[in-house]
Amino acid sequence: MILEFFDGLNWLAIAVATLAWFVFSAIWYSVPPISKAWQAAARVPPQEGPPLPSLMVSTVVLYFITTVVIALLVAATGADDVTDGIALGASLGVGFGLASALVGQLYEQKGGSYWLINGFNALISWSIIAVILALWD
Amino acid sequence: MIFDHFEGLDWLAVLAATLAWYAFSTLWYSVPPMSTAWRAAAGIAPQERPPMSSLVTASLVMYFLATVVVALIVAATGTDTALEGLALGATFGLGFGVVGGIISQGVLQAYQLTEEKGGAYWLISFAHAIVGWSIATVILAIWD
Repeated sequence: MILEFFDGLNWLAIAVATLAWFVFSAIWYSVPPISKAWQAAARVPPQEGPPLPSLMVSTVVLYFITTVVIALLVAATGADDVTDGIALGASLGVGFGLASALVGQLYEQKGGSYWLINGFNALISWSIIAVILALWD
Repeated sequence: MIFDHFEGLDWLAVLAATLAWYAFSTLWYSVPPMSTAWRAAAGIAPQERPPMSSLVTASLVMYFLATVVVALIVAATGTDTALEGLALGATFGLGFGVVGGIISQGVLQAYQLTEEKGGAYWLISFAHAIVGWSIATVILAIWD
């Protein structure tokens, strides 16, 4: 069972992978042209957000939870090199990130490019995480 | 590598799991009182949607894609009992469905770009993620 791999998780690797995802996403959503396209699609007014610390802390905590799940999958599938990591991360990104973002877009009618930006963020982020976790010994 | 399991996939099982997941989702979001609670919380007006046929087709294709990935992971992890399928599905639901929902909607709420969505919205969406993923993983795990 997948939860049996919990005891063997490398928490330092998970912390590093979580931070790598956070840094990548921070750049992804804050550097033009992607940031401008996302802001327009999500209708986020520039510099009118809430205090950043609370948003950042909750995002890191949530990223951590998903990274733990990916770490369990890396362990359970025996992924232990770059190719394995990319294959797993890209599969998760396509199957769960892109697909669920599109289904959400179809029903909840967010901006046109919203799902694409979020979906590709998931695809690339989860590949980065899976590679880090697969390579870490 | 996870793709090594592609040739061994049971496509009938993948199809059955896709349809079961989709049927569950359709019922979940279309039968009152959950449908009305979710629609009200999400602020969705039926008229805003694209034609139903394109919604159904696109949704089915996306569910199929997700189910293929689930099937690859079920095979790669050797998940072959209902309990293991349930554990894997609940893990997916929590790690990808629940977290993804909180991040996407939470950001919009934080920026006050959407109305505060009450507990009903979150409960309906999160329960759907965990149960939906679990249905797919259990079917794929026990199918022989």
